[in-house]
Amino acid sequence: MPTDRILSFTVNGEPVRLLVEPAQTLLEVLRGPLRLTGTKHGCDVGDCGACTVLVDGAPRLSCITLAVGCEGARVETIEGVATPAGPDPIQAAFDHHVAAQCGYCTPGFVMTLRHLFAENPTANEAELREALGSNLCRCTGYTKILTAAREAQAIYAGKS
Amino acid sequence: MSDVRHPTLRAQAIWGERRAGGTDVMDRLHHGRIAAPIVDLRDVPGLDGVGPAPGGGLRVGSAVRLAELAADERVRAGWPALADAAGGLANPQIRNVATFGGSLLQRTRCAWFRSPDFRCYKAGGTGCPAAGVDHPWHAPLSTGPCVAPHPSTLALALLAFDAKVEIEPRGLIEVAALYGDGMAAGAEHTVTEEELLVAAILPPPRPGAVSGWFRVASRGRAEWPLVEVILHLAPGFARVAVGGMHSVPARVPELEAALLAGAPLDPVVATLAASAPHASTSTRTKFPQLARAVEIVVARLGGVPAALPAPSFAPPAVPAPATPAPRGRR
Ligand SMILES: Cc1cc2nc3c(=O)[nH]c(=O)nc-3n(C[C@H](O)[C@H](O)[C@H](O)COP(=O)(O)OP(=O)(O)OC[C@H]3O[C@@H](n4cnc5c(N)ncnc54)[C@H](O)[C@@H]3O)c2cc1C
Ligand code: SF4
Ligand code: FES
Ligand code: FES
Repeated sequence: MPTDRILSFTVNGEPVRLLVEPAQTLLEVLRGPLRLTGTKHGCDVGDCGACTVLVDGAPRLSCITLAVGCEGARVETIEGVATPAGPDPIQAAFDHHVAAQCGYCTPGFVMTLRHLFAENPTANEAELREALGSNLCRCTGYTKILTAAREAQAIYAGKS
Repeated sequence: MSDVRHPTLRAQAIWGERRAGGTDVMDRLHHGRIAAPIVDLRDVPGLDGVGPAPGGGLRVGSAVRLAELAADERVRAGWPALADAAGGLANPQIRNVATFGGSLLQRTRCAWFRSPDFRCYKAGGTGCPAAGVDHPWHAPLSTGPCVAPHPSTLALALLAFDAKVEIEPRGLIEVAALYGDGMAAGAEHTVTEEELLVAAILPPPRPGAVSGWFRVASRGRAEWPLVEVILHLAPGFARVAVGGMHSVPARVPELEAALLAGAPLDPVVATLAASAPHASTSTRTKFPQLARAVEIVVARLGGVPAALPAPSFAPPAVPAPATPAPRGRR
Protein backbone atom coordinates (compact mmCIF):
# COMPACT_ATOMS: atom_id res chain seq x y z
CA MET A 1 0.00 0.00 0.00
CA PRO A 2 1.56 3.34 -1.00
CA THR A 3 2.18 5.64 1.95
CA ASP A 4 0.92 9.21 2.03
CA ARG A 5 3.47 12.03 1.89
CA ILE A 6 3.59 15.42 3.53
CA LEU A 7 3.31 18.26 1.02
CA SER A 8 4.32 21.81 1.97
CA PHE A 9 3.67 24.64 -0.46
CA THR A 10 1.93 27.99 -0.67
CA VAL A 11 -1.48 28.50 -2.21
CA ASN A 12 -2.43 32.08 -3.00
CA GLY A 13 0.27 33.23 -0.62
CA GLU A 14 -0.86 31.05 2.33
CA PRO A 15 1.52 28.33 3.52
CA VAL A 16 -0.18 24.93 3.41
CA ARG A 17 0.99 21.59 4.81
CA LEU A 18 -1.06 18.45 4.30
CA LEU A 19 -0.90 14.70 3.68
CA VAL A 20 -1.35 13.64 0.07
CA GLU A 21 -1.42 10.28 -1.68
CA PRO A 22 1.63 9.78 -3.93
CA ALA A 23 -0.32 9.74 -7.21
CA GLN A 24 -2.83 12.46 -6.27
CA THR A 25 -2.97 15.38 -8.66
CA LEU A 26 -2.67 19.03 -7.76
CA LEU A 27 -6.25 19.47 -8.98
CA GLU A 28 -7.52 16.78 -6.59
CA VAL A 29 -5.71 18.41 -3.67
CA LEU A 30 -6.98 21.91 -4.52
CA ARG A 31 -10.59 20.90 -5.00
CA GLY A 32 -10.62 18.21 -2.28
CA PRO A 33 -8.94 18.92 1.05
CA LEU A 34 -8.27 22.59 0.26
CA ARG A 35 -11.86 23.21 -0.92
CA LEU A 36 -10.67 25.57 -3.67
CA THR A 37 -13.30 24.59 -6.22
CA GLY A 38 -12.79 27.62 -8.46
CA THR A 39 -10.25 25.56 -10.44
CA LYS A 40 -12.39 23.38 -12.67
CA HIS A 41 -12.24 19.69 -13.40
CA GLY A 42 -12.94 19.30 -17.11
CA CYS A 43 -11.37 16.52 -19.15
CA ASP A 44 -8.82 15.31 -16.54
CA VAL A 45 -6.30 14.51 -19.31
CA GLY A 46 -4.69 17.76 -20.46
CA ASP A 47 -7.05 18.61 -23.32
CA CYS A 48 -9.23 21.47 -22.09
CA GLY A 49 -7.30 23.86 -19.81
CA ALA A 50 -10.18 24.30 -17.33
CA CYS A 51 -7.84 23.22 -14.51
CA THR A 52 -5.11 25.78 -15.31
CA VAL A 53 -3.33 27.23 -12.27
CA LEU A 54 0.02 28.99 -11.94
CA VAL A 55 2.88 27.01 -10.38
CA ASP A 56 5.86 29.24 -9.61
CA GLY A 57 4.35 31.75 -12.01
CA ALA A 58 3.94 29.37 -14.98
CA PRO A 59 0.59 28.01 -16.18
CA ARG A 60 0.15 24.32 -15.44
CA LEU A 61 -2.65 21.88 -16.14
CA SER A 62 -3.31 20.81 -12.54
CA CYS A 63 -5.16 17.64 -13.61
CA ILE A 64 -1.95 16.09 -14.93
CA THR A 65 0.41 17.63 -12.34
CA LEU A 66 1.40 15.41 -9.42
CA ALA A 67 0.74 17.14 -6.10
CA VAL A 68 3.98 15.73 -4.61
CA GLY A 69 5.85 17.44 -7.44
CA CYS A 70 4.71 20.82 -6.04
CA GLU A 71 6.75 20.54 -2.84
CA GLY A 72 7.94 24.07 -2.00
CA ALA A 73 6.10 25.59 -4.96
CA ARG A 74 4.08 28.79 -5.14
CA VAL A 75 0.63 27.90 -6.47
CA GLU A 76 -1.87 30.54 -7.57
CA THR A 77 -5.51 29.77 -8.31
CA ILE A 78 -8.50 31.80 -9.44
CA GLU A 79 -9.43 32.39 -5.78
CA GLY A 80 -6.29 34.50 -5.39
CA VAL A 81 -6.85 36.74 -8.40
CA ALA A 82 -9.33 39.36 -7.16
CA THR A 83 -8.25 41.78 -4.44
CA PRO A 84 -10.36 43.44 -1.72
CA ALA A 85 -10.41 46.47 -4.04
CA GLY A 86 -12.27 44.52 -6.71
CA PRO A 87 -11.92 42.03 -9.52
CA ASP A 88 -8.79 41.77 -11.63
CA PRO A 89 -9.05 43.70 -14.94
CA ILE A 90 -9.26 40.35 -16.75
CA GLN A 91 -12.26 39.33 -14.67
CA ALA A 92 -13.85 42.76 -15.15
CA ALA A 93 -13.33 42.58 -18.93
CA PHE A 94 -14.83 39.08 -19.10
CA ASP A 95 -17.85 40.43 -17.23
CA HIS A 96 -18.12 43.54 -19.39
CA HIS A 97 -17.96 41.62 -22.69
CA VAL A 98 -20.01 38.61 -21.50
CA ALA A 99 -17.01 36.43 -22.31
CA ALA A 100 -18.33 33.75 -19.94
CA GLN A 101 -21.52 31.83 -20.62
CA CYS A 102 -21.54 28.62 -18.60
CA GLY A 103 -18.30 29.88 -17.04
CA TYR A 104 -16.66 26.51 -16.69
CA CYS A 105 -13.66 27.44 -18.81
CA THR A 106 -13.30 30.97 -17.39
CA PRO A 107 -10.94 30.35 -14.43
CA GLY A 108 -8.53 28.60 -16.80
CA PHE A 109 -8.62 31.46 -19.32
CA VAL A 110 -8.09 34.03 -16.56
CA MET A 111 -5.05 32.21 -15.17
CA THR A 112 -3.53 31.77 -18.64
CA LEU A 113 -4.00 35.48 -19.36
CA ARG A 114 -2.54 36.50 -15.98
CA HIS A 115 0.62 34.66 -16.94
CA LEU A 116 0.69 36.06 -20.48
CA PHE A 117 0.28 39.67 -19.39
CA ALA A 118 2.97 39.23 -16.71
CA GLU A 119 5.43 37.58 -19.07
CA ASN A 120 4.69 39.37 -22.33
CA PRO A 121 2.65 42.53 -21.68
CA THR A 122 2.85 43.60 -25.33
CA ALA A 123 1.75 40.21 -26.76
CA ASN A 124 0.44 40.66 -30.30
CA GLU A 125 -2.67 38.99 -31.69
CA ALA A 126 -0.81 35.86 -32.80
CA GLU A 127 0.89 35.52 -29.40
CA LEU A 128 -2.43 36.03 -27.63
CA ARG A 129 -4.12 33.31 -29.68
CA GLU A 130 -1.15 30.99 -29.24
CA ALA A 131 -1.16 31.46 -25.45
CA LEU A 132 -4.88 30.66 -25.32
CA GLY A 133 -4.31 27.54 -27.43
CA SER A 134 -4.39 25.39 -24.27
CA ASN A 135 -7.88 26.55 -23.23
CA LEU A 136 -11.09 25.27 -24.77
CA CYS A 137 -14.45 27.03 -24.58
CA ARG A 138 -17.52 25.23 -25.86
CA CYS A 139 -19.94 28.16 -25.40
CA THR A 140 -18.66 31.53 -26.51
CA GLY A 141 -16.99 30.89 -29.84
CA TYR A 142 -13.87 32.64 -28.48
CA THR A 143 -14.61 36.05 -30.08
CA LYS A 144 -15.78 37.64 -26.84
CA ILE A 145 -12.92 36.05 -24.92
CA LEU A 146 -10.42 37.59 -27.34
CA THR A 147 -12.15 40.99 -27.11
CA ALA A 148 -12.09 40.83 -23.30
CA ALA A 149 -8.45 39.75 -23.33
CA ARG A 150 -7.44 42.70 -25.52
CA GLU A 151 -9.30 45.15 -23.28
CA ALA A 152 -7.70 43.67 -20.16
CA GLN A 153 -4.29 43.82 -21.80
CA ALA A 154 -4.75 47.55 -22.44
CA ILE A 155 -5.75 48.12 -18.80
CA TYR A 156 -2.75 46.11 -17.59
CA ALA A 157 -0.50 48.16 -19.89
CA GLY A 158 -1.95 51.41 -18.51
CA LYS A 159 -1.32 50.30 -14.91
CA SER A 160 2.34 49.43 -15.39
CA MET B 1 -3.90 3.96 -6.03
CA SER B 2 -0.48 3.71 -7.67
CA ASP B 3 2.70 4.36 -5.76
CA VAL B 4 5.18 6.90 -7.12
CA ARG B 5 8.95 6.43 -6.76
CA HIS B 6 11.53 9.19 -7.26
CA PRO B 7 14.83 7.43 -7.99
CA THR B 8 18.01 9.49 -8.17
CA LEU B 9 20.11 6.99 -10.12
CA ARG B 10 19.69 5.88 -13.72
CA ALA B 11 20.09 2.24 -12.71
CA GLN B 12 17.07 2.55 -10.40
CA ALA B 13 14.80 4.14 -12.99
CA ILE B 14 13.46 0.78 -14.15
CA TRP B 15 10.64 -1.63 -13.31
CA GLY B 16 7.49 0.41 -13.46
CA GLU B 17 5.70 2.97 -15.57
CA ARG B 18 8.19 5.75 -16.15
CA ARG B 19 6.85 9.27 -15.79
CA ALA B 20 8.73 12.07 -17.57
CA GLY B 21 6.37 15.01 -18.24
CA GLY B 22 3.41 12.82 -17.32
CA THR B 23 1.09 14.10 -20.04
CA ASP B 24 0.42 10.59 -21.34
CA VAL B 25 0.97 8.67 -18.09
CA MET B 26 -1.49 10.78 -16.07
CA ASP B 27 -4.17 10.28 -18.72
CA ARG B 28 -3.73 6.50 -18.52
CA LEU B 29 -3.64 6.65 -14.73
CA HIS B 30 -6.98 8.46 -14.72
CA HIS B 31 -8.44 5.85 -17.05
CA GLY B 32 -7.39 3.04 -14.72
CA ARG B 33 -4.84 1.84 -17.23
CA ILE B 34 -1.76 1.86 -14.96
CA ALA B 35 -1.31 -0.77 -12.28
CA ALA B 36 2.49 -0.71 -11.92
CA PRO B 37 4.23 1.76 -9.62
CA ILE B 38 5.09 5.04 -11.29
CA VAL B 39 8.82 5.72 -11.56
CA ASP B 40 9.20 9.49 -11.81
CA LEU B 41 12.28 10.44 -13.84
CA ARG B 42 12.36 13.97 -12.35
CA ASP B 43 15.52 13.43 -10.28
CA VAL B 44 17.29 11.02 -12.64
CA PRO B 45 20.54 12.58 -13.89
CA GLY B 46 21.99 12.67 -17.38
CA LEU B 47 18.79 12.72 -19.44
CA ASP B 48 18.74 16.46 -20.05
CA GLY B 49 20.30 18.83 -22.51
CA VAL B 50 20.82 19.47 -26.21
CA GLY B 51 24.44 19.36 -27.34
CA PRO B 52 26.80 18.51 -30.17
CA ALA B 53 27.23 14.90 -31.24
CA PRO B 54 30.48 13.66 -32.76
CA GLY B 55 30.81 14.53 -36.46
CA GLY B 56 28.62 17.65 -36.44
CA GLY B 57 25.35 16.11 -35.40
CA LEU B 58 23.17 16.91 -32.40
CA ARG B 59 22.37 14.93 -29.27
CA VAL B 60 18.96 15.59 -27.73
CA GLY B 61 18.43 14.25 -24.20
CA SER B 62 15.21 12.40 -23.50
CA ALA B 63 14.20 14.80 -20.72
CA VAL B 64 14.35 17.90 -22.95
CA ARG B 65 10.92 19.59 -22.96
CA LEU B 66 9.16 20.00 -26.29
CA ALA B 67 9.02 23.80 -25.83
CA GLU B 68 12.80 23.88 -25.28
CA LEU B 69 13.39 21.73 -28.33
CA ALA B 70 11.20 24.01 -30.45
CA ALA B 71 13.08 27.11 -29.29
CA ASP B 72 16.60 25.70 -29.60
CA GLU B 73 18.51 27.73 -32.22
CA ARG B 74 20.67 24.75 -33.25
CA VAL B 75 17.61 22.60 -33.88
CA ARG B 76 15.87 25.41 -35.74
CA ALA B 77 18.87 25.94 -37.99
CA GLY B 78 19.87 22.36 -38.74
CA TRP B 79 16.71 20.27 -38.36
CA PRO B 80 13.86 22.81 -38.77
CA ALA B 81 11.06 20.27 -39.24
CA LEU B 82 11.85 18.79 -35.82
CA ALA B 83 11.66 22.24 -34.20
CA ASP B 84 8.44 23.11 -36.05
CA ALA B 85 6.73 19.88 -35.08
CA ALA B 86 7.87 20.12 -31.44
CA GLY B 87 6.53 23.69 -31.32
CA GLY B 88 3.27 22.96 -33.12
CA LEU B 89 1.87 19.73 -31.69
CA ALA B 90 -0.61 19.53 -28.80
CA ASN B 91 -0.89 22.87 -26.96
CA PRO B 92 1.53 25.29 -25.26
CA GLN B 93 1.02 23.91 -21.78
CA ILE B 94 1.52 20.32 -22.87
CA ARG B 95 4.69 21.38 -24.69
CA ASN B 96 5.97 23.14 -21.55
CA VAL B 97 5.98 19.88 -19.59
CA ALA B 98 6.04 17.02 -22.14
CA THR B 99 9.48 15.61 -22.88
CA PHE B 100 11.17 14.48 -26.06
CA GLY B 101 11.55 10.92 -24.68
CA GLY B 102 7.93 10.77 -23.56
CA SER B 103 6.75 11.98 -26.94
CA LEU B 104 8.64 9.12 -28.60
CA LEU B 105 7.41 6.46 -26.17
CA GLN B 106 3.86 7.64 -25.48
CA ARG B 107 1.11 5.07 -25.83
CA THR B 108 -1.67 5.14 -28.39
CA ARG B 109 -4.61 7.51 -27.93
CA CYS B 110 -7.03 4.92 -29.34
CA ALA B 111 -10.30 5.45 -27.44
CA TRP B 112 -10.84 1.71 -26.98
CA PHE B 113 -7.37 1.31 -25.51
CA ARG B 114 -7.88 4.24 -23.12
CA SER B 115 -11.29 2.97 -21.99
CA PRO B 116 -11.23 0.72 -18.94
CA ASP B 117 -14.18 -1.20 -20.43
CA PHE B 118 -12.06 -2.91 -23.10
CA ARG B 119 -8.93 -5.03 -23.00
CA CYS B 120 -7.47 -4.96 -26.49
CA TYR B 121 -4.11 -6.23 -27.74
CA LYS B 122 -2.37 -3.09 -26.55
CA ALA B 123 -3.88 -3.44 -23.08
CA GLY B 124 -2.65 -7.02 -22.76
CA GLY B 125 -5.79 -8.63 -24.19
CA THR B 126 -6.31 -10.80 -27.23
CA GLY B 127 -8.55 -8.89 -29.62
CA CYS B 128 -9.25 -5.50 -31.14
CA PRO B 129 -12.72 -4.03 -30.47
CA ALA B 130 -11.98 -1.34 -33.08
CA ALA B 131 -11.45 -3.89 -35.87
CA GLY B 132 -14.00 -3.41 -38.61
CA VAL B 133 -15.14 -0.04 -37.26
CA ASP B 134 -15.17 2.55 -40.03
CA HIS B 135 -13.43 5.51 -38.41
CA PRO B 136 -11.25 8.26 -39.92
CA TRP B 137 -8.73 8.07 -37.07
CA HIS B 138 -7.81 4.52 -38.02
CA ALA B 139 -4.56 3.70 -39.78
CA PRO B 140 -5.26 2.09 -43.16
CA LEU B 141 -1.63 1.15 -43.85
CA SER B 142 -1.16 -0.66 -40.54
CA THR B 143 0.35 -4.07 -41.27
CA GLY B 144 -0.58 -5.78 -37.99
CA PRO B 145 -3.99 -6.26 -36.37
CA CYS B 146 -3.96 -2.94 -34.42
CA VAL B 147 -5.49 -0.13 -36.48
CA ALA B 148 -4.61 2.75 -34.15
CA PRO B 149 -2.21 5.26 -35.72
CA HIS B 150 1.09 5.65 -33.92
CA PRO B 151 0.80 8.80 -31.81
CA SER B 152 4.32 10.22 -32.06
CA THR B 153 4.86 13.19 -34.36
CA LEU B 154 8.50 13.56 -33.35
CA ALA B 155 9.23 9.94 -34.26
CA LEU B 156 8.41 10.99 -37.83
CA ALA B 157 11.04 13.72 -37.61
CA LEU B 158 13.62 11.24 -36.32
CA LEU B 159 12.84 8.91 -39.23
CA ALA B 160 13.06 11.72 -41.76
CA PHE B 161 16.46 12.76 -40.39
CA ASP B 162 17.84 9.19 -40.14
CA ALA B 163 18.41 9.70 -36.42
CA LYS B 164 19.46 7.03 -33.95
CA VAL B 165 18.35 6.58 -30.35
CA GLU B 166 20.42 5.68 -27.34
CA ILE B 167 18.76 3.04 -25.18
CA GLU B 168 20.37 2.00 -21.92
CA PRO B 169 21.72 -0.72 -21.73
CA ARG B 170 20.91 -1.81 -25.31
CA GLY B 171 23.04 0.85 -27.05
CA LEU B 172 22.58 3.02 -30.12
CA ILE B 173 19.82 1.76 -32.42
CA GLU B 174 18.06 2.89 -35.59
CA VAL B 175 14.70 4.59 -35.13
CA ALA B 176 13.04 1.82 -37.15
CA ALA B 177 14.32 -0.70 -34.58
CA LEU B 178 12.81 1.40 -31.79
CA TYR B 179 9.36 0.81 -33.24
CA GLY B 180 9.50 -2.49 -35.12
CA ASP B 181 7.39 -3.23 -38.18
CA GLY B 182 3.94 -3.01 -36.56
CA MET B 183 3.21 -6.72 -36.81
CA ALA B 184 3.29 -7.07 -33.01
CA ALA B 185 0.03 -5.45 -31.92
CA GLY B 186 0.84 -5.34 -28.19
CA ALA B 187 3.19 -2.36 -27.95
CA GLU B 188 3.98 0.97 -29.59
CA HIS B 189 7.76 0.54 -29.20
CA THR B 190 10.41 -1.97 -28.21
CA VAL B 191 11.76 -0.31 -25.03
CA THR B 192 11.32 -2.72 -22.11
CA GLU B 193 10.77 -2.00 -18.41
CA GLU B 194 14.47 -2.70 -17.84
CA GLU B 195 15.61 -0.13 -20.42
CA LEU B 196 15.79 3.63 -20.44
CA LEU B 197 15.66 5.98 -23.41
CA VAL B 198 18.59 8.33 -22.87
CA ALA B 199 18.86 10.50 -25.99
CA ALA B 200 18.49 10.74 -29.75
CA ILE B 201 21.38 11.50 -32.09
CA LEU B 202 20.69 13.54 -35.22
CA PRO B 203 23.27 13.19 -38.00
CA PRO B 204 24.75 16.45 -39.36
CA PRO B 205 22.57 18.40 -41.80
CA ARG B 206 23.06 17.41 -45.47
CA PRO B 207 24.31 20.08 -47.89
CA GLY B 208 21.37 21.92 -49.44
CA ALA B 209 18.82 20.18 -47.23
CA VAL B 210 15.38 21.59 -46.43
CA SER B 211 12.68 20.09 -44.24
CA GLY B 212 9.09 20.78 -43.24
CA TRP B 213 6.02 19.53 -41.41
CA PHE B 214 2.32 19.70 -42.24
CA ARG B 215 -0.77 18.09 -40.76
CA VAL B 216 -4.40 17.68 -41.74
CA ALA B 217 -6.44 18.27 -38.58
CA SER B 218 -9.89 19.50 -37.68
CA ARG B 219 -8.52 22.21 -35.40
CA GLY B 220 -5.32 24.23 -35.61
CA ARG B 221 -4.28 23.68 -31.99
CA ALA B 222 -4.61 20.99 -29.35
CA GLU B 223 -5.84 18.43 -31.85
CA TRP B 224 -4.50 15.15 -33.17
CA PRO B 225 -3.91 14.96 -36.91
CA LEU B 226 -5.80 12.78 -39.35
CA VAL B 227 -2.71 12.72 -41.53
CA GLU B 228 0.66 14.39 -41.04
CA VAL B 229 3.91 14.42 -42.96
CA ILE B 230 7.51 15.37 -42.32
CA LEU B 231 9.67 15.87 -45.39
CA HIS B 232 13.44 16.08 -45.51
CA LEU B 233 14.74 16.88 -48.99
CA ALA B 234 18.22 17.51 -50.38
CA PRO B 235 19.67 17.28 -53.88
CA GLY B 236 19.02 13.69 -55.00
CA PHE B 237 17.62 12.77 -51.56
CA ALA B 238 14.08 12.52 -50.17
CA ARG B 239 12.60 11.28 -46.92
CA VAL B 240 8.82 11.30 -46.42
CA ALA B 241 7.66 10.16 -42.98
CA VAL B 242 3.91 9.87 -42.57
CA GLY B 243 1.69 9.87 -39.47
CA GLY B 244 -1.94 8.89 -39.05
CA MET B 245 -1.64 6.08 -41.59
CA HIS B 246 0.39 3.35 -39.83
CA SER B 247 0.50 1.73 -36.39
CA VAL B 248 4.23 2.51 -36.27
CA PRO B 249 6.01 5.67 -37.42
CA ALA B 250 6.88 4.96 -41.05
CA ARG B 251 8.44 6.35 -44.18
CA VAL B 252 6.65 5.93 -47.50
CA PRO B 253 9.35 5.03 -50.05
CA GLU B 254 6.85 5.21 -52.93
CA LEU B 255 6.29 8.93 -52.23
CA GLU B 256 10.02 9.53 -51.85
CA ALA B 257 10.67 7.95 -55.26
CA ALA B 258 7.88 9.98 -56.88
CA LEU B 259 9.29 13.25 -55.50
CA LEU B 260 12.76 12.44 -56.78
CA ALA B 261 11.35 11.51 -60.20
CA GLY B 262 9.11 14.59 -60.33
CA ALA B 263 6.16 12.24 -60.79
CA PRO B 264 2.58 13.11 -59.75
CA LEU B 265 1.56 11.86 -56.31
CA ASP B 266 -2.10 10.97 -56.91
CA PRO B 267 -1.37 7.71 -58.75
CA VAL B 268 1.05 6.77 -55.96
CA VAL B 269 -1.48 7.25 -53.16
CA ALA B 270 -4.16 5.54 -55.27
CA THR B 271 -1.95 2.45 -55.50
CA LEU B 272 -1.30 2.59 -51.75
CA ALA B 273 -5.04 2.86 -51.08
CA ALA B 274 -5.83 -0.08 -53.34
CA SER B 275 -3.56 -2.38 -51.37
CA ALA B 276 -4.07 -0.88 -47.88
CA PRO B 277 -4.69 -3.69 -45.35
CA HIS B 278 -7.25 -1.68 -43.34
CA ALA B 279 -8.87 0.59 -45.93
CA SER B 280 -12.44 1.62 -45.14
CA THR B 281 -14.79 4.29 -46.47
CA SER B 282 -13.43 6.84 -43.97
CA THR B 283 -9.78 5.94 -44.16
CA ARG B 284 -9.78 6.00 -47.97
CA THR B 285 -10.32 9.76 -47.73
CA LYS B 286 -6.91 10.07 -46.06
CA PHE B 287 -4.97 9.07 -49.18
CA PRO B 288 -5.73 12.20 -51.24
CA GLN B 289 -5.12 14.22 -48.04
CA LEU B 290 -1.70 12.60 -47.81
CA ALA B 291 -0.84 13.61 -51.38
CA ARG B 292 -1.99 17.20 -50.76
CA ALA B 293 -0.05 17.39 -47.46
CA VAL B 294 3.17 16.34 -49.20
CA GLU B 295 2.56 18.84 -52.01
CA ILE B 296 1.96 21.64 -49.51
CA VAL B 297 5.26 21.00 -47.75
CA VAL B 298 7.12 20.76 -51.07
CA ALA B 299 5.61 24.08 -52.17
CA ARG B 300 6.50 25.74 -48.85
CA LEU B 301 10.06 24.49 -49.19
CA GLY B 302 10.33 26.01 -52.67
CA GLY B 303 10.20 22.72 -54.57
CA VAL B 304 12.28 19.56 -54.50
CA PRO B 305 15.95 20.66 -54.50
CA ALA B 306 17.45 20.01 -57.91
CA ALA B 307 19.88 17.15 -58.10
CA LEU B 308 23.47 18.34 -58.21
CA PRO B 309 24.55 19.00 -61.81
CA ALA B 310 26.50 16.19 -63.39
CA PRO B 311 30.25 16.92 -63.41
CA SER B 312 31.18 18.93 -66.52
CA PHE B 313 34.52 17.23 -67.00
CA ALA B 314 34.77 13.78 -68.50
CA PRO B 315 35.12 11.27 -65.71
CA PRO B 316 38.26 9.20 -65.96
CA ALA B 317 37.67 6.03 -67.89
CA VAL B 318 37.25 3.15 -65.53
CA PRO B 319 39.01 0.12 -66.94
CA ALA B 320 36.64 -2.78 -67.51
CA PRO B 321 37.16 -5.45 -64.92
CA ALA B 322 39.45 -8.09 -66.26
CA THR B 323 37.58 -11.28 -67.01
CA PRO B 324 39.03 -13.83 -64.71
CA ALA B 325 40.66 -16.63 -66.55
CA PRO B 326 38.65 -19.80 -66.26
CA ARG B 327 40.03 -21.90 -63.58
CA GLY B 328 41.36 -25.09 -64.87
CA ARG B 329 40.47 -28.23 -63.12
CA ARG B 330 43.18 -29.51 -61.06
C1 LIG C 1 -4.47 17.76 -26.57
C2 LIG C 1 -3.25 16.95 -26.89
C3 LIG C 1 -2.82 16.85 -28.21
C4 LIG C 1 -1.69 16.12 -28.52
N1 LIG C 1 -1.25 16.07 -29.81
C5 LIG C 1 -0.11 15.38 -30.12
C6 LIG C 1 0.38 15.30 -31.44
O1 LIG C 1 -0.22 15.84 -32.38
N2 LIG C 1 1.51 14.60 -31.69
C7 LIG C 1 2.20 13.98 -30.68
O2 LIG C 1 3.24 13.36 -30.94
N3 LIG C 1 1.76 14.02 -29.41
C8 LIG C 1 0.63 14.70 -29.11
N4 LIG C 1 0.18 14.74 -27.82
C9 LIG C 1 0.82 13.88 -26.84
C10 LIG C 1 2.01 14.48 -26.15
O3 LIG C 1 2.97 14.87 -27.10
C11 LIG C 1 2.58 13.39 -25.25
O4 LIG C 1 1.65 13.12 -24.23
C12 LIG C 1 3.89 13.80 -24.63
O5 LIG C 1 4.86 14.08 -25.61
C13 LIG C 1 4.43 12.72 -23.73
O6 LIG C 1 5.58 13.20 -23.09
P1 LIG C 1 5.70 13.14 -21.50
O7 LIG C 1 7.08 13.56 -21.14
O8 LIG C 1 4.60 13.86 -20.86
O9 LIG C 1 5.56 11.56 -21.31
P2 LIG C 1 5.02 10.71 -20.10
O10 LIG C 1 3.56 10.75 -20.05
O11 LIG C 1 5.76 11.05 -18.88
O12 LIG C 1 5.52 9.28 -20.61
C14 LIG C 1 5.03 8.71 -21.81
C15 LIG C 1 5.59 7.28 -21.93
O13 LIG C 1 6.98 7.31 -22.19
C16 LIG C 1 7.69 6.53 -21.26
N5 LIG C 1 8.96 7.22 -21.04
C17 LIG C 1 9.14 8.56 -20.95
N6 LIG C 1 10.45 8.84 -20.85
C18 LIG C 1 11.10 7.65 -20.87
C19 LIG C 1 12.48 7.29 -20.82
N7 LIG C 1 13.45 8.21 -20.72
N8 LIG C 1 12.81 5.98 -20.89
C20 LIG C 1 11.84 5.04 -20.99
N9 LIG C 1 10.53 5.32 -21.03
C21 LIG C 1 10.16 6.61 -20.98
C22 LIG C 1 6.79 6.46 -20.06
O14 LIG C 1 7.01 5.26 -19.32
C23 LIG C 1 5.41 6.46 -20.69
O15 LIG C 1 5.02 5.16 -21.04
C24 LIG C 1 -0.97 15.45 -27.48
C25 LIG C 1 -1.41 15.53 -26.17
C26 LIG C 1 -2.53 16.27 -25.85
C27 LIG C 1 -2.97 16.32 -24.42
S1 SF4 D 1 -6.90 -0.33 -32.63
FE1 SF4 D 1 -5.16 -1.05 -31.42
S2 SF4 D 1 -5.21 0.21 -29.58
FE2 SF4 D 1 -7.24 0.42 -30.55
S3 SF4 D 1 -8.52 -1.21 -29.63
FE3 SF4 D 1 -7.58 -2.12 -31.45
S4 SF4 D 1 -5.69 -3.10 -30.67
FE4 SF4 D 1 -6.39 -1.65 -29.10
S1 FES E 1 -9.18 19.25 -16.68
FE1 FES E 1 -7.05 19.58 -16.91
S2 FES E 1 -6.85 20.01 -19.01
FE2 FES E 1 -8.94 19.46 -18.85
S1 FES F 1 -18.21 29.64 -21.22
FE1 FES F 1 -18.90 27.59 -21.29
S2 FES F 1 -17.08 26.52 -21.84
FE2 FES F 1 -16.47 28.56 -22.01
